[in-house]
Amino acid sequence: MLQIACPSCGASLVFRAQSTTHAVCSACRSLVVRHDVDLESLGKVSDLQPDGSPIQLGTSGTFLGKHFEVIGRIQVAYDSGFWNEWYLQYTDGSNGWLGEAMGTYFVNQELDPAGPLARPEDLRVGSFVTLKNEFFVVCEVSTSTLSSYEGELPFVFPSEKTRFTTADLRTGGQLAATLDYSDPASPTVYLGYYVDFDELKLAGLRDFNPELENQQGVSTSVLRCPTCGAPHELKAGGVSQVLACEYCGTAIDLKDKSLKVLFQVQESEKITPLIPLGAKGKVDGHEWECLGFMRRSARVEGMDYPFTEYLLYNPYQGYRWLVESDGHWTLARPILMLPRNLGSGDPVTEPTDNTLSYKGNRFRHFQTAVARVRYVAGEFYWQVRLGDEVRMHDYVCPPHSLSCEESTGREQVWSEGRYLEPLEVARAFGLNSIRQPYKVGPSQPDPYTPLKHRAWMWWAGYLAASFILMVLTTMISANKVVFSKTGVATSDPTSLTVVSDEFEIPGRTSNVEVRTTAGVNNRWVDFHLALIDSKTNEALDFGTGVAFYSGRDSDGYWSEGSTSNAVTLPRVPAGRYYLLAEMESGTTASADMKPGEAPSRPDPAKNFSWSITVKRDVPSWIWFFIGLGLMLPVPLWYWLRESSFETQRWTESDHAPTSSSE
Amino acid sequence: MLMNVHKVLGIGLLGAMLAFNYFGLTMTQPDRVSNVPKTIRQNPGSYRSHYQTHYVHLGGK
Repeated sequence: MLQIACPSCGASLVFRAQSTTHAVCSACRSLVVRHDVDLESLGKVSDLQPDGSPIQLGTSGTFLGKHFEVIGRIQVAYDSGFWNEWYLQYTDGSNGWLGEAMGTYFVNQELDPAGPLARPEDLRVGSFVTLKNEFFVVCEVSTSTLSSYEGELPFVFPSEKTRFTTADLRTGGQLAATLDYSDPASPTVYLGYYVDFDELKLAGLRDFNPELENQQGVSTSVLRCPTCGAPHELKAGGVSQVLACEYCGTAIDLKDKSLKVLFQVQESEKITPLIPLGAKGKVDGHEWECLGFMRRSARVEGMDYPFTEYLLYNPYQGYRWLVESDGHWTLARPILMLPRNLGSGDPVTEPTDNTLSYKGNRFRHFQTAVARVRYVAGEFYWQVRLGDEVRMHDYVCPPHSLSCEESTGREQVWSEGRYLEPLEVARAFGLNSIRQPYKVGPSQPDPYTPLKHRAWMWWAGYLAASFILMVLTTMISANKVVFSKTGVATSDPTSLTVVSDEFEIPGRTSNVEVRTTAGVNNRWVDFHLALIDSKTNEALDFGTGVAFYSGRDSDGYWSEGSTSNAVTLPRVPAGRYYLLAEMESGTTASADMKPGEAPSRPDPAKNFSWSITVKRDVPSWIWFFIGLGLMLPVPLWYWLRESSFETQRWTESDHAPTSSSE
Repeated sequence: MLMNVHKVLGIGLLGAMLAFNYFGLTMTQPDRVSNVPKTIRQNPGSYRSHYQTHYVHLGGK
């Protein structure tokens, strides 16, 4: 650190960084250059313009784990206002820059381009530039002017009137770059990352408390409407470009010292906003103030669909849009990270109706329409005009949305949105009543989707649990053969009737499976069976049958049916039983029968072998499958409701589902 | 509400499945006939099972 007296006023001047060559004296605003230990004054610099920046000299923060302190500032003026390049001194001795404008933050460092850079006149918005083997999209080429300096700096511009070209390059991630042509002979590349305000963990920020600001003499400015005389307190003074008086409809150019009237809203077109201008509300953990209100309409197939937008402002976070359409609310923020085309993975340069990828979500194209400004009231950070038109491309991934606004001759402005429940908006801004949503909002979350997922999860859980239980049941079931008999049926009728010896059916009251088998081909066999309790003489009458057909035709071998079949008897108590079996056999097939014809004519002419096996306590999987079926209606119901909801959503889009009659 | 019904139904069905397997309930309902002749074993023709229906008669190809 080098501490020297200012050559102009004698005040103490500090050089903290090795890399800095210039400093602005905070007392007399002289720009001083150092030559070793000698100082030279280069004259006074212009006053800094109020730009609403929350950062000041001495602000500290953290980026990628490195602590830094703000030691200098270059304020630059461009078409849309001012931006700042804050010079950072990291604790490891390195330096860098923090670009900041209207709530966007870009931490960057100078990069050796290792090759010639494109000339500024060759840069076209939407074209690609390769730096460090990365593809960057040229998103904005603008001309800027130096506004002023503050603190320590590693260089200064040749003069305060220097106009220079810069190009903003972006990617489908946080990585971005700026091409600086302030020295056309040797353009500079700054490479870095867009970051959120909260990520920087900034401390020592400017305090926007109005009372403090009054004491510091940097009060928010108050002006009177030149038409009706109503007083207006500018909340984002220095950044706002237009003020539209909510009382008389006069729109004033705040960048014009004479407060030129830009346009006048007709009294008949006046709209009272639901959220009053100046109202404050907490959304997403930050307090926002409503600065502006705008009514626009989107023209689709000759019909105008109005929607309302509230411009919210937080001096640290920047701007947000609270958009209301048909009672559905979306909180939108401008984004600098470009979405990617889902197929190619390339950053989007021209919005189409392709599906996009952004922050890991898939966004489907919803609608493209031309939106027109119908009414404005309050402060705006751009030169808004009644009748301004932009082409809007909307994409949805409920509850998120992406929107790209293209205006003729200007860059594309992307924003990401999140659906807000109306009650959330009402609570945030203390509204007593709020309009009920109409139809389904484009990014409204489908309430049936989580229910459907839960219902299917339960179904899957039931499937797993019941399968495990069935496996366990199968393992512990006795499944024991208690009787088995084989024989051969012949043309002798007595061979077709069998009475077994007594056998024991043990254990608790449970089921009994009787399996019958017959060695037949192109023949059926019916078994008429009775399981008789030898003690009580109570019979369980039941029957089963087998049929097996096979042959050869032009397609080759075919077969149908089975030579084995089983029937399970419920709740058979333990005891001694015997089995009565009568067999019938024939060749006539059901398909050959005529209506009213007897089922078959027994045809015992052919011999066949048979067997009967009785098993005790056999696991029954039928209950497993019945349970799965009974558990299906609820997830199916939610699936149908979800489908119906999605149909309603997409009916309002450019991709409306068509009915079968169309 | 419906989700709660779904949960209760699932738990109920699991219990029912276990119970049905334990007590040997099946989808088949045989005819129960009391006091069949005691002489069936000696004279098989003295009783015939009530089930005289023909079962799986396939048509072939």
